[in-house]
Amino acid sequence: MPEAPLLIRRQRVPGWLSALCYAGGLILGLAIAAGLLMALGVPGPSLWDEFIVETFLTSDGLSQTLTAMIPLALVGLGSALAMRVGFWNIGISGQLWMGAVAATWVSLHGIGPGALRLPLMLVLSCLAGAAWVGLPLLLRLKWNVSEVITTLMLGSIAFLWVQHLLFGAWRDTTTGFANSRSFAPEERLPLLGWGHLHAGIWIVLGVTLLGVLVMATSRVGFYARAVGLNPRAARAAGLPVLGTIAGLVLASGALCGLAGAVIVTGTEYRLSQTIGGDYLFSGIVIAFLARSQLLAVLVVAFVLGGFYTTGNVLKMFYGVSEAVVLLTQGIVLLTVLSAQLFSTYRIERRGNA
Amino acid sequence: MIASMLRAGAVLALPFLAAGSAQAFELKAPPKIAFIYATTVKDGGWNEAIDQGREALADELHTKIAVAENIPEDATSLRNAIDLYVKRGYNIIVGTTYGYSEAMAEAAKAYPDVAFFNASGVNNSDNMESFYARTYQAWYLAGMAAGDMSKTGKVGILAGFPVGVVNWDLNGFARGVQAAKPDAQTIAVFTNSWWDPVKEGQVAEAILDQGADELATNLSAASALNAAEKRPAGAIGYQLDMSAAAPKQIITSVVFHWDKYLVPRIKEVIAGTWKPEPYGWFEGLSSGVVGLAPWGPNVPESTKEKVAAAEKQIIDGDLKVYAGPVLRQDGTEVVPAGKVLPEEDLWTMDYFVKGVIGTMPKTQ
Repeated sequence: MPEAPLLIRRQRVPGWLSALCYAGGLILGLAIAAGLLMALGVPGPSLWDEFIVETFLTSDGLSQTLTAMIPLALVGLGSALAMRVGFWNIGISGQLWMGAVAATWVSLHGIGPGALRLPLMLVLSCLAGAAWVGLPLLLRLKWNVSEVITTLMLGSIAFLWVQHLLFGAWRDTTTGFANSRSFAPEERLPLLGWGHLHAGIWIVLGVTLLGVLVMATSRVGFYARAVGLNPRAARAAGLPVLGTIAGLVLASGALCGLAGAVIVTGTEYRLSQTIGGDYLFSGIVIAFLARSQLLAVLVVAFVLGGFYTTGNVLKMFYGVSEAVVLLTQGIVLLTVLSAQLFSTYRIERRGNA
Repeated sequence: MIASMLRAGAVLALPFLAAGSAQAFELKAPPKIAFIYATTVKDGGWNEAIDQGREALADELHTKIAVAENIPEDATSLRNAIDLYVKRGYNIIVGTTYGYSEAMAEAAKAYPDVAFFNASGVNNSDNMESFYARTYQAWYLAGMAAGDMSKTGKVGILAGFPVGVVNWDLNGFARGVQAAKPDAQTIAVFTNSWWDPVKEGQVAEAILDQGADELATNLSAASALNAAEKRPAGAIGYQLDMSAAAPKQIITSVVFHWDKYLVPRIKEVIAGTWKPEPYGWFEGLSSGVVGLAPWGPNVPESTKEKVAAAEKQIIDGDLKVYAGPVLRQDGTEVVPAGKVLPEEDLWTMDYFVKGVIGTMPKTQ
């Protein structure tokens, strides 16, 4: 006779329980990570000082964290929108690359008057990102082709395309290195005079606000919720399922493309091979941790931005290796995600009969 | 026609951005040194070679030097790292990849009291100096050895990306090969990655299959040397002495001795006599920062003598690797007889010289 307890899905998850599980997972993860780092010789008080005080409570640290958060929030929002309608956008980095390419194209070809240059770069990057997710979307809606594969593969193609440009037509001829030449001042997002923080933060806040409003008050938001919960039921009820999926997925691609433009116009001021970083991984993790809630995405992106800042400090001043930094970040993410089990399911001992 | 005119226009631009005045730089606080690497330090190649220089520097100054590994080459990551170091009192910062160039130049502007050094970078200012070695001189010597020892008249070399500092190695190697054996051919292949041991092994096999009997790698992994050792074919390594990967077949390795630059240079900074080179520090065999590792067991005495003679000529300035006539692959002339390739044209080299079999991706 099986002795394992039963997992029973809760009909309704109370807010306090959800928050409690979240906090519990986070605290447990941080405790394990701290234990690991202390075992490696990082003094406990320094950990507190680096992670909480230096990263979030000092002016320099906070501006670093906020700057790091900007593209993270955009890819997180993008990922969350697609996730809401059950579409796995694993091509975040591809859409990001295409957005960066579109913005760079505007700069290199001097399209439009100076004053309109920056808005044009941002708008085109959205279109490029949307177009890049458009193809997998079409294949999925028309022939049910798995978007996990197609978005992922298109991500590689986008990166190869970037390489092709950087080693070919767009190479900076002054240095011969594989970067584009740098952007003119009017093609850069203005700095806000606080560390390296730039106007991208307003874009993030604006986009989030817009998203929250649309989701909470509009018909589209309602459709999205219905489609996300059960597309077949939504279809049976006569809701525009395909249109809703298409709209949210295209918006997802557009936001990832915008992230690419914000990176090249906000911090890099040029296209290079390294800007893509690991935004694919981060975007999905953020959306997951935020449970696809747009406001929560902001918070998670902020905390993750802080994680990256602290990770660098650990590497630079405490001789902690990159592998350990990734390990600690992984531990925290895992415990937080695992803790969801306790809010989603009720655990019951099997009856004694 | 138009393409060649465009190229002529492009090369007029200077590769380095020059520094303004020429005042010696002074530290405002006791020296505190940090090195920032884009990958892990123990990569068996480029970064490890620089890190050996760092160790030598630490020993020489009896001090601890901070190391940051795996700081990606995007501006945000690097500037955050630099901000953190500067905030904690570090005032001599060495970055080890060209990908740091722009962000480091901005940091140098923001922190005028900090001395910045950038390996293979492109920017220079009152408190920042880029440095690199004339690696093509050592590659020329390696090419001579390979050409001299080749029986099939075909040698091979694999490299990462088609950038100027790589192209001049490949062309220098090919010209060395031809100096030893005028009709010999050099097969050159780009892997489009700085680090991909599996692909490098496959490319190495492919080059050997095409009939090359000596094989060089311009990369950091030892895959090509393993392939050559197995075949067997002569092997030439890069960055560090790679003889351990091909103990029988090794010919030599083109190696860096960055301590020859870093130790005296950073001592100058500490002494308050450092004046950054306006166009970057850029020296070759004569400075000792680049050279050949000890010869392998199969290298004939006659080859060693020929290479030694050429080395002396290069150091004395009697032999220029890119002295005319220099012809492109298709036979068009880059440098006429009696002239030498101008310095700034080295950095924008985007062609293979005659005698190279391979495809150079087109710029413009």
